[in-house]
Formats: sequence, C-alpha cells, structure tokens
Amino acid sequence: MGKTTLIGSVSEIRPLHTEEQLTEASAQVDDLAGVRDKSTTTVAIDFGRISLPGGIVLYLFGTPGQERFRPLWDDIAYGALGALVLVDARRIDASFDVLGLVEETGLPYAVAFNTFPDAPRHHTPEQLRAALDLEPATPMVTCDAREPNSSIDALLALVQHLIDHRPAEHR
Amino acid sequence: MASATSSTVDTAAVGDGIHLPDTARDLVKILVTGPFGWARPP
Amino acid sequence: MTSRAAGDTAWVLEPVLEVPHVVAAVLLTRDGLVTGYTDALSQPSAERVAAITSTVQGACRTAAAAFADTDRAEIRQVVIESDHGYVLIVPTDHGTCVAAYGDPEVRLDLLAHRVHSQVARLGEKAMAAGPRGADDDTPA
Repeated sequence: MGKTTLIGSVSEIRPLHTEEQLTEASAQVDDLAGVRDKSTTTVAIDFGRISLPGGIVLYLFGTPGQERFRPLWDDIAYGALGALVLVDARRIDASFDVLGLVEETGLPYAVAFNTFPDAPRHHTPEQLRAALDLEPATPMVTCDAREPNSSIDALLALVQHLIDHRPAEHR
Repeated sequence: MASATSSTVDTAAVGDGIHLPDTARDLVKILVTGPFGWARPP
Repeated sequence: MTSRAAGDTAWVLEPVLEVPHVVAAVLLTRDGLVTGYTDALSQPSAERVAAITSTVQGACRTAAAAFADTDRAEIRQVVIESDHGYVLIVPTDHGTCVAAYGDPEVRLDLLAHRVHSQVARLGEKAMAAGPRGADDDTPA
C-alpha cells in the first residue's frame, strides 16, 4: 500500500527492498480487489534513510504487508520511535489491524492517506478520522507515496508529533 | 529535497579503514507500515 | 514418512526425507505460501515455516546484494545452523523454494546434494510444462 514506494521516494541512500512476485495462490488468499498493479509483495523489510533539517536522521523500516508475515512485527518494530501508517481511503477497514498493532506496540504514529488522482473523495477528513477512531492529537495527512515532497511532509508530520509528545506515554 | 546519491550522515575515521557513525546527530528508527493483511470479504 | 502435499509435490519432498536425520521438508512459493509439507509438521506449522522461510531467503538475497553493493543477487542456498539442527533453503528459479530441516546429526553435504537435485528436477518439470495456464483450468 505504498510503503515500498514511499521509502524509495525519500531515501537519500539507495533503498533496500525484499520483494517477491505474488503467486496465483496468493491472489486467492489476499484480497486484491481494487489494487490493479500490485504484482510484488515485501517479504522482509524495506529500508531507507533520510536526513531532516535540524539534525534528525530517520532510518525507515518498511514492514511486510501480508498477514502471514505478522510474526516479524516485534523484531522489525524493536527500537522504533514512531510509525507512519499508510491508509487506503477506499479500504479503511483493512487498516484496523495494523492500527491496533501499532497502538498495542505503544508507538506514536501519524496516518497518511494515500491519494490516487482518480479516486473519488468519499469522506471528509472528519469522517476519516472518526472511521479510524484516531485520537485528536494523531496527525492525519494525505500523501502521494510517489512524490518525494508529499512523502517527506508526511514524515515531518510524524516527527513533529514525536517531538510534541516526548517522552512516550505508557498506557 | 532528498538527493538520491548524496550521503549526509557524517562518519569519523578511526584508522585502519574503520568508520564509526557520528553520534552527535539524532538517529531515529521509524516504521513505515500499512494495511496489514488484506482482509478477505466476509 | 509420507508427505501431505497439494497436487503432486510429494515426489519433490519424499526423497528429501530419505536423507538420514532429516525431520521435515517444505515446498513453498517465494512470496511465502506453502505448497507441500511433510508429516512432521501440522498445517499451521507449515504455513508459519513457509512465511518465515520466504522472509529469510528474501532477506538473504538482499543481504548478498548489499554486501556486493548492487541491486540483485541470486541465492544458491541458505544454511541456518542452530541448537535445533540445520535448516537448508534452496530457491528455484521459477518462484518456489525447497526447505529442509535436519537434526544436529544430519550430514549437510548429503542433504544439500539431495535438495539441489530435487530443485533441478523441479526446474526440468517447469520447463516441460510449457506456458502457465496450460495445465490449470480455471473455472469460467
């Protein structure tokens, strides 16, 4: 859902990918309705780096997107200070699990709605925020993962959120 | 903004070809994640 | 030992089980789905093994390329040595992997020889099968 694309857009070093071709059998397990040109999936991690103004260097770890790779989560998430969660506005319900997992992990996060130029706007921002049941403080932005500036803005929103809410609250 | 080829993290050479990252900067690990498993329709 | 396999993958895995001290073997797709597995594993175990084995071979491919400072590498095999024994992973060049698990007494050279020859046979069969779709009739 744009994770690999986003990291590729912003990384100042050559990004790392671990993609494999989706098999036919996978198309039965994974509901790809509405996703036209997704022919590969990340099986381990994506990785990239971007330096932000002010001396912060972000090391970006992209997680795999299929449920069967969920056991990897703890190791990939270990040491992370925050998460940027990419959400497809057309399939909001598909994001509930990952949002729950991010919250359960205790990671502050920002939500970035992946914009598609041809996607009709079904929801207002308020409706999207309500549909995802986000805390008022959680940043919510739109993002075109293919565009470096748009992607960097989403990361900046997350970083600002991390700065504003340091130290992390324990639940 | 982001250059594809430049490397802006400074390292210090400690001799014998070994480099250590400059720890004066804040190095932050961020997850980039998304819909975790496409849900099958009920 | 027999294998529980989707389709006809038993012929791939059973010769691997013949190697002494081999505990289990799995045939999987490179994107992490199980195609066949041997009796020592339950289906949920085989599914977990397939997912994580896909991760391992994908990560190893990227690691090999990273060290060589390039974008692509082809893994010949991955060997994991642990207190439980050895895992050997050999990818095919048509989107699948054979993975075998042996206890600490297993002879890696014998196991590798057997797994690589099964992978070669899989390759021959894939070439002989012709274009995808010739064998599978999907319902209209």
